[in-house]
Amino acid sequence: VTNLQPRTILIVDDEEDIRAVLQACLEAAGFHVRTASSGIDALERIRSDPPDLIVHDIMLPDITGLDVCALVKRDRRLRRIPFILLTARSQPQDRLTGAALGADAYLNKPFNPDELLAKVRRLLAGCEMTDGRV
Amino acid sequence: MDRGRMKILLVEDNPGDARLIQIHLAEAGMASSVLTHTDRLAEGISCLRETDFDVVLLDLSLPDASGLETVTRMHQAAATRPIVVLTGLNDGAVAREALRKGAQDYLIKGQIDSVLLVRAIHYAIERKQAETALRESEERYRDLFENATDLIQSVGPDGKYIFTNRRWRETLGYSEDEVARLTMSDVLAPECHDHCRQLFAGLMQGKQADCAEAVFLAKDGRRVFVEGNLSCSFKDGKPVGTRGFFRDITKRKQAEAALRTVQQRREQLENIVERSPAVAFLWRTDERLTVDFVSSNIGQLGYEPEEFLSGRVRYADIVHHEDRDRAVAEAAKHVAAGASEFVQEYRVLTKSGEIRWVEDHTWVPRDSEGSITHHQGIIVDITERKRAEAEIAQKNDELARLNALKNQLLGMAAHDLRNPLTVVSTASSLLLDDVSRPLSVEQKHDFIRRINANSEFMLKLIDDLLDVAKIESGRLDLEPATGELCSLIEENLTMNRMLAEKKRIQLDFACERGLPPFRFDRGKIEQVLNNLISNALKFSEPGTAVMVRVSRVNDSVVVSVCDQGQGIPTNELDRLFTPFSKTTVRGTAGEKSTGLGLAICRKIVEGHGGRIWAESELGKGSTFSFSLPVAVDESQASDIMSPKRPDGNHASRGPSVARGRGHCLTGVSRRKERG
Repeated sequence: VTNLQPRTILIVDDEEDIRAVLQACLEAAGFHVRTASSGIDALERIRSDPPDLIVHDIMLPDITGLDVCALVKRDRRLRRIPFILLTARSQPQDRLTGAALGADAYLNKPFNPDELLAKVRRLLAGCEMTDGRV
Repeated sequence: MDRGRMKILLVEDNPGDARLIQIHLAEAGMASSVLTHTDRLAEGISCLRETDFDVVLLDLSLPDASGLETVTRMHQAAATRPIVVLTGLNDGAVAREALRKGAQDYLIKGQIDSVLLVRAIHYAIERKQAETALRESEERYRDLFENATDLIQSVGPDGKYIFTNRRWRETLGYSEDEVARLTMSDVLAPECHDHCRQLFAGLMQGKQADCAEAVFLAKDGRRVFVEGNLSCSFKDGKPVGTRGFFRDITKRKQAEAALRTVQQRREQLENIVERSPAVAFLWRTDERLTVDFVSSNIGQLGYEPEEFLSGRVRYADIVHHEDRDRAVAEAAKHVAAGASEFVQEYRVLTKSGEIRWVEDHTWVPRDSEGSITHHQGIIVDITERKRAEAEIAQKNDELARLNALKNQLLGMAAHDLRNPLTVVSTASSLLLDDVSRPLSVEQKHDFIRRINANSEFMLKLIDDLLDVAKIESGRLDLEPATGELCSLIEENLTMNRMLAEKKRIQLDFACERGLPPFRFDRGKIEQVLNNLISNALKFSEPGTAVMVRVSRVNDSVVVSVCDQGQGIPTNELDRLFTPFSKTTVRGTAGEKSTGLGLAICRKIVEGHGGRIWAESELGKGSTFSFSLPVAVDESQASDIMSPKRPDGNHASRGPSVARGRGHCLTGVSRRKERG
């Protein structure tokens, strides 16, 4: 609440349309947004300049969102970054796998923008509390 | 008997007469004969019981009996003894009557002398002996006659019975008195009247009948079947009576009738079996399964029953060799388990070598000790059923495949609709929320453009899905008509040229001259052309070229669309033509693909009897080609109308005739997506 610096969110999706609308949505809510269109690209960006939160599509042409999530959550330096998985698939197995890998939230496409914003805000607030304790 | 020493009983109450007899006997030289004299009948009878007299001289007038009564009583007491009656002068009529009552001779007192007396005695003895012999003889014949096992009868010319024997009467249930009132036609059954009348007429003319058959009616209505020999006796050339000797053959006739019934029943049953589709068998329990019976409808398999019965063909031999061991083992298992019947299915060979499926129902009857006596069974040709079952199984497989495909398509569609829906829903939300989060005019326009493009994409996806669903369920519905391919391509290019110009892509067309018109579905082929050409444009960078070529290769027309895009990895070429198999390559201007277009193209081309394939070289470009047969005869035409079953991820890499053409263009390399 007291943050003066806007929080940075990384959006990863291979669909340019999705990236564009998500970006507009999150920017309208006051976040700073960066985007990536592939898993490899996303991993590079997360490692070089860690964002405050990641919104990551699962189905990507190169490596999946689940792969990226697993790598991030195994990385001591990055594991505290909230990770939201986006998927166009509705199989519950993805959600379970995502939870097992340490994903913090899960969103089915299509989703309500307010729902996304609520999850993003809740996860960022949780991080601040954790930060406060550590 | 010594004629000189006879034992004579004299019953005479008159002493003078008795004395006179003694004198006559002495005179006749019969003094040594023993004469016993008594004057009472009762006394005479008791003497007869004690002594075996050779002859009795009997006076008819005695103190204890008189007249014919005397003869009757004496005869009753000593039926075998010859009797000579002594009567008075006036009793000639009585004396003659006495002969009928059992006396052999008579003498009239006063007219007796020694010669006459001796002659009468001798005559009486001789006559008695002759009578006895005759009676005994008659009794013997009567005994034979009455006790014969044959039915014996004699019928007079008037049809009345002269005599019948006991067996005759007992068999037919008539008494002698009743027989006396019967005529021949009373005893004959109606159905043999005519025949017997003719026979009888023949007998009256002296003919004989051997083994004649007739049916008698017994008194109680029973029918008695007889067989016998007949003839007629004649006297002075005139018929006296028939002689008939019959045997009762009712039991034989009944047995014959029963046998006939059994035979008839057997024939009826055989008829039923013949008309039944089931072939009946009786097998022995030996290892060869020797056949004891097989119904002649085994003909349906081309065999004669005789071939099995003679052992020329063994049952095991007609069982298909691949099924034989299994069938034998299965049967042995059932029998060992104590089963009394079991059912098997196996194949048999007809005589002409055709394979037929049969269902075998076998029963295993066991005797009281539990031993198997034989196997009996029926086999039924179930080839048609098996074929139908296989057909159903195939249909089920096909349905399962279509169902799986439908589920796959639905799953894919659900997935592929979620991305554009996300864009539409998020972008529209942002537009609606314009008050709290104001958007620039450019942003609004951008959102509306994205909503529009994604809506169109969803529409295209739905169209393609419906096409795929229709094609996969076997309803391609081609409407071939003779047409000209190059003009169709020209029309399509006119449409696509606008898009090409927008992306600054050069669109060229080369059509070989003199292509013959041929039959194809114009609408569907245009769909293929449009897909390939718009794909080429989608994956081409500005400043490159797309080339469409039409040429004749043998009996086909080959259409190729070449681009100078970045090309497709070799390992992805195989998947291009299966539904939802998007590649990693992207449209150069962010164009989307449904992943169904090439799958639809493949179905359409194959439905025409043609092939579709892709060649590509990374960094140089891709060529998509399809061939259509031009020489279409009747059989191929019908083939065109029924689309082939899809065979999974079959790679349509193209016929060799069109391979090795390489790239018609070289170009820049970009990332792109096929679908």
